[in-house]
Amino acid sequence: MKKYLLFSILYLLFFVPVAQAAHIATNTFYVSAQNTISIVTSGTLSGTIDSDGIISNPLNINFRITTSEDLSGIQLKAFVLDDKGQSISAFKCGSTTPSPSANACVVLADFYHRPTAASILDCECNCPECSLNPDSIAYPGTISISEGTVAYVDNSGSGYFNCEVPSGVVDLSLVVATTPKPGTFSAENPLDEADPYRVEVFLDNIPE
Amino acid sequence: MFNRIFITIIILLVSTSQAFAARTNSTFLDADVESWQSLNFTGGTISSTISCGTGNLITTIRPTFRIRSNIFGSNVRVSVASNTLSGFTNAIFDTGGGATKYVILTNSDDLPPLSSVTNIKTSPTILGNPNAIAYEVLDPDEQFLRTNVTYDDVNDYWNIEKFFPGTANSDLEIPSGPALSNTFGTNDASGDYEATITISFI
Repeated sequence: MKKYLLFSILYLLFFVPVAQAAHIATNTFYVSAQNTISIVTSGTLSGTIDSDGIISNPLNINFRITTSEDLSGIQLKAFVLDDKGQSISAFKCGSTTPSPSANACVVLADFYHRPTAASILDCECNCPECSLNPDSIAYPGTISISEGTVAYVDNSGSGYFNCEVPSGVVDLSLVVATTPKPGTFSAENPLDEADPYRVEVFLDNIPE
Repeated sequence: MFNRIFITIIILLVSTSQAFAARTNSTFLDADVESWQSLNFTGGTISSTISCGTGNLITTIRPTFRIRSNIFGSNVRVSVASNTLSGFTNAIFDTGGGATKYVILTNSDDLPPLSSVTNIKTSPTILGNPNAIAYEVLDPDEQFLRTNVTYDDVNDYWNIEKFFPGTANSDLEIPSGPALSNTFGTNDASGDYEATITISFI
C-alpha cells in the first residue's frame, strides 16, 4: 500500500505534468538549484613610494565575480594593522549613496613599525596632519563595479563597501591613486619611515 | 517508513539552499617607501665684520642646517675648510682633547699660503700667519633625544647622529669676540675672510 502511494506521488510529480501537459491542470514546482559563484582576483598589487609620497604606479585589485543569481550584501573590506595588532578599517568614504562607483580614502600602514590606531584614524579624517599620522599614509581610492552598485557602510567607523551584484560576470575593483592624500605624507618632516606599507583587501559575506 | 520517505521527497522538492557567508582570501596591496635622506642649509647668519683695529668678530656667525631622513640612525659629518694658495685645507682645530675648537678664516681676496694655517694650528706667531685669522667655534647644536653630536679630535670634524626618522635642525656657531691670540695682526690684508662648511651623510 505504502509503496503504491509513494510511486503514485513520484509519478504525479515528475511524469504527469510533462507527459500530460496538454490535458490536465498542472502545478508548478520551484526547485532551487544551488547558486554557483566564482571569484577570481587579479591586479597590480605592489609599487614603491618615493620621497614625495608618490606611488610608482596605481595599485589596483579586481574581483571578477561570476554568479548564476543576483547577490546582495557582498562586502568589500580593507584593513590595516595597528601597533596593538588590531585590524582597523582602511576605508573612509563621505557618501553612503549606492552607485556604480565611489571614492574613498584608503590607508596603507607600515608593516614593520605599525602605526597607532590614532595615526590611522588621523589619516582618515578630513584634516589630517603629518605630525599626527606617522607610519600610515592615505591615498585616494576608487571602488567601482561594472554592473550593480557599491555603497559605503560606516559601521561605526569600521567601514566597508556593500555591493549589489547582479547575475552574470561582474568586475568589482579598487584602484589606489598614486598621489597621497594631503597631510598624510610629509617630505618636510619624514615620519613615514622606509618600510613596506600594506593594506589587506578581501570580499566578505559571500553566500555559499 | 512511508512518512520518512514522503517528507524527504517534499524537502528535496521545495527546500531552498541554505545561505552561508564566506570570504575570499586576503589580497595585500603593498607599496615600499624608499629610504631617503637630505641635507640643506636653512639660513642663519653667514656673515659678519672683523674689527680692523682689534680683529674682533663684531657679530656672531651662525649658519643653520637641517637633516631629514625617513630611516633610523642617520649620520652626518660637519667639516669646515679654508682656502689657501695650496687649495682647501681643514679649517678646524682644537687646543687638545677637543675642549675648545677654533675655525680659521682665510682671506679670499688674497689667499694665504698653507703655512699660515699650519702656523695657527700648531703654535701661532704674529708674523707666521698672514691673511688667516682664527676664532672660537662651538659644537653644532644637539637636539635632546633626537641627535647626538661628537667631535673627532684626530680628524677635526663633527659627527651628528640622528636617531629617528624625521627632521633635526642644527648649526655651527662662531660667537662674536676676539680672535685667537697671535692670529690677527697687521699682516692680515683687508678683504673677505671665509671658511666653507660642508655637511654630508656618512
